[in-house]
Amino acid sequence: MSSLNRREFLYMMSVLGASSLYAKSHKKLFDVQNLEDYYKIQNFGNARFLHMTDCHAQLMPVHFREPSVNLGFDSNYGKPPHVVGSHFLKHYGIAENSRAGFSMTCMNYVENAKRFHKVGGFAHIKTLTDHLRGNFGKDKTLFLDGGDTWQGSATALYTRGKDMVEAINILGVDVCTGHWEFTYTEKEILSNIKDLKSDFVAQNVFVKDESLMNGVEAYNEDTGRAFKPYVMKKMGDHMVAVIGQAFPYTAIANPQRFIPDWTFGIRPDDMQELVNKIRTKEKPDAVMLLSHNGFDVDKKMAAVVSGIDFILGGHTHDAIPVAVPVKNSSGVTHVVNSGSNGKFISVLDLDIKDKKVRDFRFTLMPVFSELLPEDPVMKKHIDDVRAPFLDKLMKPLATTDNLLYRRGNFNGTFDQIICDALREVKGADVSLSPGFRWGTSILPGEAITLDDVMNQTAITYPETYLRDIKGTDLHNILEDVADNLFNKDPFLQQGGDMVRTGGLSYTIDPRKDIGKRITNLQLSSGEKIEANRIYKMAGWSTVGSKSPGEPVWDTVEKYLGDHKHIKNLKLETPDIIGVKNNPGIELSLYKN
Amino acid sequence: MKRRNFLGLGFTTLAVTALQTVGSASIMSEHPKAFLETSSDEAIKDIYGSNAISKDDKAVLKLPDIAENGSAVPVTVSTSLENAKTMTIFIDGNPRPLAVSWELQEGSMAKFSTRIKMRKTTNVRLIVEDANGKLHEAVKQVKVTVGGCGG
Repeated sequence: MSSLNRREFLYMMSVLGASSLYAKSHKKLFDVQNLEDYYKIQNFGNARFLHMTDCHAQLMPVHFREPSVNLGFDSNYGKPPHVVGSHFLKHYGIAENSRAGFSMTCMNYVENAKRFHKVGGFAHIKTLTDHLRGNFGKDKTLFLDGGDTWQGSATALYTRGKDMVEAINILGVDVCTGHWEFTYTEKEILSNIKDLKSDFVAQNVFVKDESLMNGVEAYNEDTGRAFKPYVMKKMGDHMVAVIGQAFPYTAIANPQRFIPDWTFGIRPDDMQELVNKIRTKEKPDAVMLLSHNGFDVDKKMAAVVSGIDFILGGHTHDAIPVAVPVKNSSGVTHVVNSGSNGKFISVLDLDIKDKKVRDFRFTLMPVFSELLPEDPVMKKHIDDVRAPFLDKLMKPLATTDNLLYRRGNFNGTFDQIICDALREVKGADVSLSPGFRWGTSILPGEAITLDDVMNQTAITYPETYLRDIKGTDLHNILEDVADNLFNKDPFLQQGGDMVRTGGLSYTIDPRKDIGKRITNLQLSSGEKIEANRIYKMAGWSTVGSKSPGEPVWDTVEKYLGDHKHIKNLKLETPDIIGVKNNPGIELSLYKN
Repeated sequence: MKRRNFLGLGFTTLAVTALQTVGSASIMSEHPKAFLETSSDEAIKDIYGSNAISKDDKAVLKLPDIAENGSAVPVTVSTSLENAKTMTIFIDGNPRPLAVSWELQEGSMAKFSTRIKMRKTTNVRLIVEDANGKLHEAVKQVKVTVGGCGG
């Protein structure tokens, strides 16, 4: 058993390096000089929650560059997570080139990644979370996973999420919810949930009325809920309710054809009714919401629903080092978001007394792989899962001079490769690729393997297409996706980034209404896109119906094989109006 | 009662109600133009005249913020008013905005669920006519997307 020994832990904490002490954070986490200080102050109160979310099936340690553009406007202007790069460092008083700064921002990314190496990895996470649980008391600790766990890697796709179910079981997760979990078929999802040792909770997934009439099973036939909405858990002497909120727009952002019987939605009224019922019936000491809403949606939900103590959220992949308080009619709900890709474990300690949360401490803890020894049981599971595919997955397809990444409101460099591949291989004027927030990073000088390509593309609807599209329809697609990202009402934001484009340039004014944001739409040649002209468009990941072409990883593999080396990558990013002083963009990095 | 059985019953009731009201008796025969109007305001005028409409919490309209499927958007309407006479749904952006109208029997529970077809992102209106002929309105916008790229 490779538990984390005290010296290693001391080393880890002392090298994080940031000066500030946030209100309600575990004291001196980023400034601790010795182990005793850390331990003395680390354990707070009488109930501990560990939270991870959006690991996207990254069993192995990864590089993951945080965004250089994540724009917020109006009430979210300059508010986390719409604060990036140097603005983020300043906002939180974190030293540039420190470990904290490296883990939470895009600044000097390549240089720092070479110094601090990879993050995450389930064998390393297991060591850290066992330590955090053992240190506080197993009977008083709950481990919550916010979903997007069964999807994002080659092996997760090949095993239909089963490799991750087993990993979550080994990790000892207590409660889960989902989003990309719902991109397998209903039968596969139910089978995976059966194999889970943790509770799978979702208050906002219902069996459609017509499906119920056709005999489809529901968790509760009276309410129509497809899954258990919440679970009561004992933590020491206290009872805590954990409610689940799956991604509300799963049936819009992802294909309905895999899950024809289920309907989603934010459903704040159902949430309020449920919280009231739990408060009255179960008399819990605390009510926690494990959410896959996305940060801004969670903030609005915290304002319109009362009676929730904490929202432990995910979906938008935001690494936010403090718990954000939101006022509502009965008090305050704190909202947390714990990053993605296994980079972070959030530690939330509550002091519960007389059926109330009196105080808390919260820390977003980066997982530095090289500082944490691998847990042998988890390592064996990962090795076993990968072994049958390893030769295929690790074969270098090409090398790169550029840092490759996806995350950010607009095209990342790996998206550019996908868009370029679609255009070149399929012979298209323009190409589109979804603005997913997952997808790991590759450092300059590294080889690009099939494993890497799958980390960008491993979905259950990867088929490509080449079709004719009218200029006006292309414009409408861009407007529609931009509205999902920039709508003023967070409840109308779906939490993906802007669709990635190849062979196109445009101007965007995010503050305008739908239909008026996108102007100046041109081919990369500078030729104006005409409303009534027909263009050849290539793409993949069609939500409505299955596309006829090869899976996109084949397209990208062919492109990489043809080019062998990626250099002078031309990143196609739009001109953005009105963001000169916006802290949601790191202008020094945005244009290459 | 299990939701499945209840739903079975509910759907039957709904069908009968629809036949009685929309299909034959009042709305269609008394206001034949209403279903052909191309604006909600005109359709409302055809059915309810020019009476003042108050936006209040008496008319309750439950709809998703974004439709999962524009051709079958689930909607639930209800009112706390006793002995309300009629409840009618109008979809502003549809070519024919009048979608469905219920005529309530005295003492019946005024709560219905159905599916409506929506052409595009637009406001949906519910008008409830109370026992005194006063009109109460609820409005909610539903977004219909051309296809998501989220995640």
